[in-house]
Amino acid sequence: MSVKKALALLAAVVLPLNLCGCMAHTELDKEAIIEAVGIDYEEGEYKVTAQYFNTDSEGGSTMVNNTEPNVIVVSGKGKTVSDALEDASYRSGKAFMLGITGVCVIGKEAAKQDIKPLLSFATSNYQSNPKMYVTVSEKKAEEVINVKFKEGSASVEKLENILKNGDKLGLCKPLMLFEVMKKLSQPTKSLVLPLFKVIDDEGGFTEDDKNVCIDGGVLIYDGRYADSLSVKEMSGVQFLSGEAKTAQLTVTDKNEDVTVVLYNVKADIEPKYKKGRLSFKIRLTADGKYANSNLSNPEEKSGEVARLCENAVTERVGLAIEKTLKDKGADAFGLKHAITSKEYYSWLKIEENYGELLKNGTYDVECKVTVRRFSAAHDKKD
Amino acid sequence: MGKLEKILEQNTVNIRSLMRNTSDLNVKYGKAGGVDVCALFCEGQIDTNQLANLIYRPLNSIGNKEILPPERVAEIISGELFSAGEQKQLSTYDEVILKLYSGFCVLLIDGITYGIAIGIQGYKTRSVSPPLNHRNIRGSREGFVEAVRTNMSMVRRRIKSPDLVMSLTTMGKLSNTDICICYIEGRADKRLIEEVKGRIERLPLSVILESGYLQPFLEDKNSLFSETGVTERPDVLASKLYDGKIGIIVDGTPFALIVPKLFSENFIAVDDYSEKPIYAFMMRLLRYFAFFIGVYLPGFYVALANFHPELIPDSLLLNLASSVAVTPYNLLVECIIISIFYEIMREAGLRMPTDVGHAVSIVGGIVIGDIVVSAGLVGAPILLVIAVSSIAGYIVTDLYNTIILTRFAFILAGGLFGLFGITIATVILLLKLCSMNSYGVPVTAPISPFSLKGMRDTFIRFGWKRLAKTDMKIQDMNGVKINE
Amino acid sequence: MNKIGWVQFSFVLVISRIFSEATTIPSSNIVYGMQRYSVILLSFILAFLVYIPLFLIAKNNEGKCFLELTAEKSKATAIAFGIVLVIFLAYLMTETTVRLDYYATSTIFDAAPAIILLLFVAAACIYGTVKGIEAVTRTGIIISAGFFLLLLLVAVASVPLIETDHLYPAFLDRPNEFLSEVIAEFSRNSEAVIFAVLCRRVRKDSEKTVILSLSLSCGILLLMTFFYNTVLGEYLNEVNFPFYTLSSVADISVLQRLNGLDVVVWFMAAIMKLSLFAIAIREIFMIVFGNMTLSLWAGILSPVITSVLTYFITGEPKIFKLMIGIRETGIPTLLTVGILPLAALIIGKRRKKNVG
Repeated sequence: MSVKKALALLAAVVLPLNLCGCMAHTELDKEAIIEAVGIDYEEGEYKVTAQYFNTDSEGGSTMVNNTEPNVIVVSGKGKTVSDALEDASYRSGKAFMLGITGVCVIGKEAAKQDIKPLLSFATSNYQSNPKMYVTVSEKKAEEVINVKFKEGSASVEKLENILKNGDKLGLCKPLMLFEVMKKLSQPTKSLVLPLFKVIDDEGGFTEDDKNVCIDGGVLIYDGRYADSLSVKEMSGVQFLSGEAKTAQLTVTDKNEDVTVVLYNVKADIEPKYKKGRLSFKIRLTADGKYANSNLSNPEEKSGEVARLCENAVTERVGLAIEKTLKDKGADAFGLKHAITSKEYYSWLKIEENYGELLKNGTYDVECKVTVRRFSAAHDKKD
Repeated sequence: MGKLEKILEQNTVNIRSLMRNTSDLNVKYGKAGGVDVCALFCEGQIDTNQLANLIYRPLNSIGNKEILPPERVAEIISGELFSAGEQKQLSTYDEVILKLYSGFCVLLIDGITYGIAIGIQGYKTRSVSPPLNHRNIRGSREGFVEAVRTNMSMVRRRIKSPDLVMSLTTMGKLSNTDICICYIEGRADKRLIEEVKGRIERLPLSVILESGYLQPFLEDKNSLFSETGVTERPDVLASKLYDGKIGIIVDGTPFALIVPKLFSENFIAVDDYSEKPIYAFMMRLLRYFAFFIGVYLPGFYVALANFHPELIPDSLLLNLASSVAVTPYNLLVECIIISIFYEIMREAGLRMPTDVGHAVSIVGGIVIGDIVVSAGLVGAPILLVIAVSSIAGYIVTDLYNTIILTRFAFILAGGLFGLFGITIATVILLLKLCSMNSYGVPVTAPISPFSLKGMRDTFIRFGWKRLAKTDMKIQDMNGVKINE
Repeated sequence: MNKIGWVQFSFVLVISRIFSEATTIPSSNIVYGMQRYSVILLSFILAFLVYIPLFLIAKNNEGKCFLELTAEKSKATAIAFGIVLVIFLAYLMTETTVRLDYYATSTIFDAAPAIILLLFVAAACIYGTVKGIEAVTRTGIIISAGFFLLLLLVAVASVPLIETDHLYPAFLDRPNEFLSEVIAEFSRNSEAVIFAVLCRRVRKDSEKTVILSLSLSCGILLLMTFFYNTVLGEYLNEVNFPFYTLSSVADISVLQRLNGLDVVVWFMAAIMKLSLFAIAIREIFMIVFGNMTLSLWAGILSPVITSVLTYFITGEPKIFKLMIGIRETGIPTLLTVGILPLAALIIGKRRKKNVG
């Protein structure tokens, strides 16, 4: 290698060092890694409560102690959510990093504002996590964020698990940020978000005797909070939207309570537009298995139990339809896509007046449940 | 230098003087057929038993009873007495001196203007042993040794065909090193053979002690990636010759050179051909993966942690943040420090006497592996990253030097500019690699330019039944002709 | 003269084409709807029709490009054609650099100062230009492998998010915009100008490049559109970079999201594309003036000049929108890859007749 080449190589190595600082870089210990964020609206301004990872938490020099919450909560206020975040960041003395934020809780009052611009603090930030769950709090979001769970490497893991478990049980469909944005881009800007409620902690999961559970859901219509949904209504929404892959139902057969787990839940929606009216034929199918029963001969009674399940599902779906479609004209189930995929040219006619047509529409719900599997205990008896 | 003269005494004086009266030159006078005969040889270069049995005894058998003309004596010596041995007539002092240093005994006869060189080489050489690099589980355990002729014989034993050509030449004005160029006639491209021969003939070196001296003259430009393959194994050389490549064996080194060389060959091990194809495929993928880990992992890690933490999985990021919080340096600095420490330890381990090796490894292991982390000087994750990438680098031994250099480049690029720096550095590295042609064959073939036929033994190694059906030479790679 | 294979060339042209699609900027957003399928199909049919002269020239003239043919007949016409081509290439280089800068700084390289970004990109392009077409296309093949890997990963990770009810049986849902969308889509095939100039560097069967690159690009775009529509739905209308958004929600466990890989792939593809543009400029100078040094300097200076232009244009969105607007009329693409080669064909035939 010639001297010139060696010098050029040396320059190539050394000169870039002078560019240190040209690119703004992150120093993880000076960043607040936000795990959960709560948005409230009070007295004309937004209040953001953020839960961030405490890098100085106990657990050795480089390991995270999984039995501690490992989080610090900070809050800030501002005219917009971004302002409030900046205020909170200023108070914490750290730059906020939304890259792995797991949950965004919107307070009830804040949800009454248009939630699309409210969530733009995350959507307009390339770094934020598009897969963060968006939920609504029964009262203030701050209360949910202040609950510090001791399980997992981060407190937010518990909140995420509560949502995932709710999904498994057919109680709610947790929606991620990008799914929320997707639904908000649809004509009626409607969706259903899970509702968090703060309750007393009896299991010692948290630091301060408070816990969080799912208590139904919230209907967002035209981008804002419209109504709250009970657990049953929420479950009906799940069935109708075909989002409940599994669900658990307890029905009473001649004073005997039977719990059935429904799986392979499918919803087939047949829309029809005739004479200025929209009608939907909704056919739900599901397979079921006993989860818990004292029935003496479950095989023989499976038909009866299936009918009871069908009734329960139909009732829940009816409640959901009443609350969302009939009452508000809110298409929280993606019925629009059922129309466009099956009757596209009808859609062009009803597009303008879609909400009203939904209110006046007819919904014919049919449900077919087949109890196919029995628990191992019964198999043994046989 | 002049030609040999008729007077024996004059010749021996001249040879002594040309060889600077060197002590290892032995000159023994005698008479055969009444003519003065002189045997010259270099001590240590010849086998003394052969000297006694093959030279002295036959010479004595001529006797001095009958006086013969010098021409007749020369005729008897070269034609009748030593017809079995390697023999050559020498007419100049240069030739005589070269043969003496090559382990020949040179007989000079008074009244004759040429000398007779008889091969009785017997210098001490290392016996054939397993190669230190490129080890294998199955197959031959033979590795090249320092003696060129032994190495040639090892190759010849593997290809017993008249098509295997071994052309021996002597290069290096001072060292007069034997260099053997070998190829298979009909498989190696003629232009390639001429090119390699031409380059070797034009070598301007005075001393050639190792095949590495030749390498730059066989490559077009100094580059991070070598266009010349190196092997210690005669079986590997034999297989490469079959592919139409040229082998160069240099006396004094157990490392033979192979040209041209493709980048993908770095990831092929000799065991691949003995194992099941599916296992060989997995191992090759593993080697590619190890190469990427070796080159990219530290740089990528620093880039993600310093610039794009959102791309790191949650739990890992939290652990990383905890470790960063207790260490005093920036991740880039930490990474460079640990990498340099590791290279120091590696170099010490390589050069130091074996007796102190244990001490160094214990001190290194405890100091770097434990105390540095507990003292909070560096984080455990970065230590793990460097350790993993260093071990991964050893899997592709032929590219080890390249891996170290590029690893440092990527650490700098990633630490200073994040993924942006890594992207630019990768593009430049790829452009450099892809611009290389080794004797007209793209170094990156058959990956790019892509050749489906060439893929039969690149990532996947076809089974022998299929490999036997699709015969392929290096010049067939993607239809590219040598030096097109 | 270094030669390349037609498959190699096709793949590099494909990633150059897809780059334009993946880094669309708001003024030419990709809109949700089934119409997009018909727009893509029709634009590629149109492109193929426009490329017929190019195809014929490549097929019948032993790999000579139309400029070379023109130069053989009339030096003055070749100079005029050369000027038009160089201007269009410089324009495309600037557009690509601006697009890259906008894309990179709107996503994960938001911290990168424009000057650093442009400096390094220009340096990489110059290196590519100096190394030549062989090195660039070979590198392009490796990058396209990276692109296909990304596409595969994003596709696999997006499967659980697909909602097929977003597909509906109507391929003309915005009739008023249909024509303008087709023309805009056609105009994005501007990298065909690279082929128009560099087809002489293809070892053999250079005309096949047209068929393979167009069909492959069309297929990939249709596939991408399928994922855009079914995963993003109506949200597609609101996102800046649909493929980036798709890769942001794709999770492969080793990486939290694939958007980092997405940006890396497009960055590399852009450098390849820019290098090819610069090599094309170098080639034009070589054909017209036959001077090696001059052409090399033209190739080297072009990334520098376009980087400087980009530096000023990025701060002026109006100028950039105007630039895109001009290109999206389809006229520059039509002129350089359709009309000029056709003119070259006609000139060639007339001269032949005259000689006859």
